[in-house]
Amino acid sequence: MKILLVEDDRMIGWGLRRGLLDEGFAVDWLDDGDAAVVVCSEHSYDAAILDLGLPNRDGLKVLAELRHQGNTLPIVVLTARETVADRIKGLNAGADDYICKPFDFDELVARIRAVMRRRAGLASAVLEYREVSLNPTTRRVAYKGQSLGLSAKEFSLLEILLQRPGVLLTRNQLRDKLYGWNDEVGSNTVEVFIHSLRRKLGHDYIENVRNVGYRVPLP
Amino acid sequence: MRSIRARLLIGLLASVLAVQLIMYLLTYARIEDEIDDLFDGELERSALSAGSLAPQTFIPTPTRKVENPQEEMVVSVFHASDGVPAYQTHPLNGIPRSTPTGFSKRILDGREWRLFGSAVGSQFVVAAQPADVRDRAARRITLRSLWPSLGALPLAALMIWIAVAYGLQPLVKITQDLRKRSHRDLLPLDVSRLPPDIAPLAEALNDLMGRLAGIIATQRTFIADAAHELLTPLTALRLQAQMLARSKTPSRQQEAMAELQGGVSRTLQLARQLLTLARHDADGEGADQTPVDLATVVQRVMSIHLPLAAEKALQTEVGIQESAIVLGNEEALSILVSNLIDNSIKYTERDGRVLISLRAGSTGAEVKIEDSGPGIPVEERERVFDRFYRRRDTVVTGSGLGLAIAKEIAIRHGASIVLESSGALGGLSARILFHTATAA
Repeated sequence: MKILLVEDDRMIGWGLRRGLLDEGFAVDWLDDGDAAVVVCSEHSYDAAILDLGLPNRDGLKVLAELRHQGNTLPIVVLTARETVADRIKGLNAGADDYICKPFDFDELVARIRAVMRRRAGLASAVLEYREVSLNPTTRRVAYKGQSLGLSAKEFSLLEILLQRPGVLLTRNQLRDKLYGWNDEVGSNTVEVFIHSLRRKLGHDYIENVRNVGYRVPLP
Repeated sequence: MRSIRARLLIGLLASVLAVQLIMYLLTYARIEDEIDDLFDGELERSALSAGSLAPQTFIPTPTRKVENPQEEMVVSVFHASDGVPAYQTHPLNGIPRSTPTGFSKRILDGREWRLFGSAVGSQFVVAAQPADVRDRAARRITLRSLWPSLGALPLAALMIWIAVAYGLQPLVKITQDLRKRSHRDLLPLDVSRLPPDIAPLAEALNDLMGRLAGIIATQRTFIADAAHELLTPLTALRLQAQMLARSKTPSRQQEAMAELQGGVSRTLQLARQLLTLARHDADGEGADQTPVDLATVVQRVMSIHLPLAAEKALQTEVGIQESAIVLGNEEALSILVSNLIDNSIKYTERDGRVLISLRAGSTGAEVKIEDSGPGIPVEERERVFDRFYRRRDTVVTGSGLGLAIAKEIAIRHGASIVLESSGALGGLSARILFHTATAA
């Protein structure tokens, strides 16, 4: 799950990035509104956190521009403008959710998960498929009723695959969703994690379509 | 102070009384003339009618009782040939035969008398009457004619009271209007509906309320801005604390702790700057001004900033030629110089240069801070003084208040801050110009 963070305050940006990484998200952090518009047209994200008080281009304008381009990225707006009128303006400009400073980090994460879930059309926070049950909030996975120990990246990879069972994702797409710009990525890391997931869940759980990518096969 | 109502009542009643007194005196003078004419006529008629009678018809009645000797007219008849008294209506010593013809005055029996003498046939007749009778009559008549108007004085007072109340009504109305207002309502009074007498007062009041409204609006904006600006560092603090709580490994904890401490310092700095700004806003102009040596200020501020400069391996030079004395607040001036030096040190990259100089001349003093940093583009050189304005692309964390505070203090000291490109170092040149300094 990869999140675009657009925040110009260095300290808040640092804290958010650190926390989101701990929560198992991959994070790209920008501090500029113009750059955000460009980056969104070139990369795909699962959600964005957008600060409204940005240099260069106001967050509301970024929001309007993205929606104008037809970008349906789930966006949680972060702001110190807390009047009802401001909230309505933000939501009308195309925000999926709105959170005021100073916010609680756990609440922010819960809201991000909620907008991502809504966008994916999922009713429950827990992903369940073929005897695997994955809870993104508690970061626990159970397989055949037994708790399963997964590394952070293994968990994220499984979460990505389980969100849309049957959909084929290329190696690059998966890598993109697993890592931010500043993360060091080995050349065959995706394969390594797929391998260890298969070892724990059985070889058939994840299907490898040769030269295309991976998916959790439909029955 | 006595009320306007009482002043008007006293003033107007005194005027009415004074006018009445003048009226009395004028009336008295007129009546006295009239009475004189009237009494003289009577005196003349009495003398002539007594003289026209034959002497033998006189019945001497020297014992006749005089009922009112004060007002009685006395007629004396003399034989014209020898001057022997023939007849006198009442006993009165000393009406002389030598009384001149016509009207005259004479003291008889210790009183002043008015006399009329005339030759009638073979006789000489003199009619006499005490003069004070006339004065008393004149006074009596005058007082009688004035009595009704004196009696009307209380009525006049009452009417004055009512008229004054009517006149003061617009003032009462303004007072009620003002009293009914909430403290937020500083809209001007409607001057067009006021009498011209109090319109200037209302205009002065409007002017004051206008200035007050401006100050209140500025303060309100400042408080709103300040609260808003506090949200950002507080958000960072909360986040940093949460990250510290989540850190599991010692290295992570250390990193999070360092971030948290940075956040606390930043919040403290903002709070300190807000306080400084609030204090210099509240201080009136010219508050506790003492002679301050700018050389001392620059040296002291520099000694505080040297460790920071050394940490960034900045090459600093301080050139102070002489002392320069300005009138002002030493602490405020230190903050002014400090904020500018602080900016230079913060924004200049490692191994850069910062030049600080103080020059004093006949026209004033100049503190100049130059650096080899990125400088400020011309179009932003005004806006950087705005409160909470932060230049984009700044890597330095700040509140956006430093220059606003500097400007505030400079204005208080009649100084100005000029931002330019530094010719020598290529970065920013900030000059503080004092126009009233004296070299020492």
